[in-house]
Amino acid sequence: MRQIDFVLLAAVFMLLALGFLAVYSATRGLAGASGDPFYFVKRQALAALLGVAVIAFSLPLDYRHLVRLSRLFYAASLALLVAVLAVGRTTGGAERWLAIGPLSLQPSEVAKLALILVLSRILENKEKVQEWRGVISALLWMAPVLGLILLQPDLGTGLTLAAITVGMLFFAGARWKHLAVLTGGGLAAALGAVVVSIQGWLPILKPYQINRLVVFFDPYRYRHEEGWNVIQSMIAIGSGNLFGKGLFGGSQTQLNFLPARHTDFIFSVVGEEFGFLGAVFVLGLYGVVFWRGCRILARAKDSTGSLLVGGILAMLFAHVLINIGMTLGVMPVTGLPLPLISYGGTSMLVTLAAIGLVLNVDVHRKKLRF
Amino acid sequence: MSGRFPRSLRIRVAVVFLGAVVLLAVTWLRVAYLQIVQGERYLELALEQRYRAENLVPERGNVYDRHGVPLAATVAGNAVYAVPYAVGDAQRAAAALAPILGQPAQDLVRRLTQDAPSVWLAIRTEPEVARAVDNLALPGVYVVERPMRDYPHGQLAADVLGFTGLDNQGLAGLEFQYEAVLRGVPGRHFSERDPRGRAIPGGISRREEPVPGNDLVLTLDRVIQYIAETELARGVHDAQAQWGTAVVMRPATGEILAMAVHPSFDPARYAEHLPRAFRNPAIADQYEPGSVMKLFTAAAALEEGLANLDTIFAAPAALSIGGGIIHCHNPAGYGELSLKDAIAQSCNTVLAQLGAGVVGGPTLARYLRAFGFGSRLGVDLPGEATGSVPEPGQVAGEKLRWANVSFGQGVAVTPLQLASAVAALANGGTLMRPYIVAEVRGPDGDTLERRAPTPIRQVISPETARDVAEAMVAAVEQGTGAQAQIPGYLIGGKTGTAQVPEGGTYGSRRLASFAGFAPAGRPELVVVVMLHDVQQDPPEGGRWAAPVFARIMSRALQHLGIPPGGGQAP
Repeated sequence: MRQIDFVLLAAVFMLLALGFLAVYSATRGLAGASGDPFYFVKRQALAALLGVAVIAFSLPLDYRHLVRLSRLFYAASLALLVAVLAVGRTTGGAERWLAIGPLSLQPSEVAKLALILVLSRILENKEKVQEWRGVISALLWMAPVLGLILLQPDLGTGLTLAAITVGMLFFAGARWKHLAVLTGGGLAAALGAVVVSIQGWLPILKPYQINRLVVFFDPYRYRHEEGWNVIQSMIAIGSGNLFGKGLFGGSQTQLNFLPARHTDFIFSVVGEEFGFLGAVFVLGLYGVVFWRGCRILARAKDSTGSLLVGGILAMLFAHVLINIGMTLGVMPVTGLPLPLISYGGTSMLVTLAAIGLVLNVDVHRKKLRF
Repeated sequence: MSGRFPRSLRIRVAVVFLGAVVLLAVTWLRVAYLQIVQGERYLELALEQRYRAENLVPERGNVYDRHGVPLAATVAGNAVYAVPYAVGDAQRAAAALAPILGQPAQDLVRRLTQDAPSVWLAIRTEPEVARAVDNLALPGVYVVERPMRDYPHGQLAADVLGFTGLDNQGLAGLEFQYEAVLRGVPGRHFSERDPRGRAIPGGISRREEPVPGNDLVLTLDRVIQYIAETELARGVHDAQAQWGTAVVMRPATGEILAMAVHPSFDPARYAEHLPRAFRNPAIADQYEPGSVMKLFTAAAALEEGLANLDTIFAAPAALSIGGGIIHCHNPAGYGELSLKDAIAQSCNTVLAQLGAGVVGGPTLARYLRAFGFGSRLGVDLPGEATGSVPEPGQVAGEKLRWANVSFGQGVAVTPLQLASAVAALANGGTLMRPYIVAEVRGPDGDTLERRAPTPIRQVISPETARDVAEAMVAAVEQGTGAQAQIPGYLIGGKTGTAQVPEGGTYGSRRLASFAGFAPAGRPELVVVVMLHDVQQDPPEGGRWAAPVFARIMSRALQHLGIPPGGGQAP
């Protein structure tokens, strides 16, 4: 067994540590279930610990065993997505959580990983991928997951699924032409949905989603409603200046001006309390993760491994870009977590498992070369 | 199993990686733009949205009577307010608050959902109520301390003091007139607040302390005010009158010692007495006073040298003048009367001759105006009425009109005007400006301003004043004002029984009045009593108002320790 990529691992742990700090800072004033200021951090740490355990135990296992079981994962996550629509917990207008005893599970997070696994198996065939039928078969695998997620509705995750699929097709060797048609078609479909909904012909998008799009262009139009989050986030980050206001020193964070600050808007906390240097540091750490990820992708022993890493990188990158872009007011507000930093057990577990898979591809790249 | 990525596809990895780096760089630039380029602006925005100023209510000045007894004071109080944005479930909050605040839940819901930064739910709440609200710990509902107005003597002098509104602002009476003096300067408390408007512990906080208002010391004597109010109430009851007013004044200075209105109201619950509570009838309402006006007709004749107290006039039962007929209240007439006796007996026919014939309209009007009728005296209370004195030479049948004015019909005066004019007779002929605030004191008790008595004008000579006063003594000693007598004291006074005009003619309603002074020779007090719409028969001033005058006057003299010879007690 080869050595683990410690640079990647170090970046991941640093992001985790920063995440704990930020989540603690954001939640110490929130009354948790018991009034314990560490309530959220403890849960977050538990999820992270679980994730690290998953990495540790799965590392010796070759990823290809997992890929062979991908259809099973896929079916299971489809079932979970159906279940969440049937009995899910509604938060902020969308059904996203399944309650399992004291825990709640976000099946859309799991589904992303399942799609990556299944795509890395079916896109192995390079000849097929170069033709339309290969592209279409990938789309057909994506469609049920995307459909169920858009029903919740969860536009952010839907966008991530599209990024994963297009990214993996790209790495699998699909033709530029096909990719361009696909991307163009996707954008056109999205635009069509927006227009149709705004005109009131067909309510594809819920009113709150349309409003989020409107405030994306003019947040001050609904400054006390949908625009509030973005404005407060931009004030939080902007007022952080170069060095930040110090841990626990952010007025926006500590005084409840920032909504959803431990989950979707955690980057605003980072920007406010750690300033430009902190924000750049976090972005740099994600850069390191991508750099090491791309390195592993290029060196993988087979295209399954490359595709697996490619899909995971696409997922992480989409999350980082959409989430941070949202806090900076350059992306519409969607409920996507910031990987490794945002509070949220399922996201944490799935992200670490995904990192584990990347490491797995790296660790096992030479093993089968006898 | 397929093999490794072909080399051509490695280019794709490089492309993706470069693309990712570019996007991350763009994100960096955006962060830099927000934090470095726009950093100052966002810092300001952050401060601005949590740094708010809250008004600090200044402690309103107190109002004291002439001996320093508080009549209106500021005491600690509580108020309940809500920040609708932070309330959440308005229905639930209203349901919990309704029984405690004693307000309908619907009303509360309406205010809890109002589109405003904050709304008052209850002002002037008792400490127990405030504690109960506090214990509910409802989100967005808060209790604050708020100084509130208290009138320790309840209804006493309510018409003079007036009342304050929800924000402690003066709305009527002295509270209104002296708003600028009493109010003080509001302070401001700048502090950092969270989005629910709660102050942040340890946040920036700067206070501009409020400056308390100044205190007023009145000329009013709490005891005499109490005497006037209780005796007036008794008089209104005895005479079965609708309402009444009484004014007690110091003739030498114009100081108002008491100003009573019955029925009155509770300034703490003024809202139940609107719009009556806004008007103080002793200064804001004007009446045809009746025979007390004969004093001023006589004063004009005496001052002009057209008659003296001993001048004899025919006193028929009826007098035909200017196309009308004037009746003497004595159906047989008196035959002949001296001017002094005519005043004492209050014979209309004599005074009608004197006013309309001997003195004449223009001169009479000039004297009446000089006595302060027909224009505002400039008392320091709001809403003073002018009264009305007819303008000479404006209507046909002028003579009959002035004949009527001579005994107090067709002319309208306020109770305060009457008191001031009688005070001029009692003090040797000088009309003094009536006033009620003697002193303005700062919050720490030092005198900022002391009011000196202000003469308006010398209306008549001291001799003329003495003559009229002598006639007034006769009216009490031998005339219609017998019931105003006080054992041991020599009293001067004049009765009045006026017909009340109703829709252009005189109906059956009567105003019974009495105006007088004591002790004669060196008058210390003037008292005017008016009883409106007396139902008892006969509805005469001598019968109903004079006893009220006597009781107020005697108790006041006693309280002040004024001996029969005049002057203050040693």
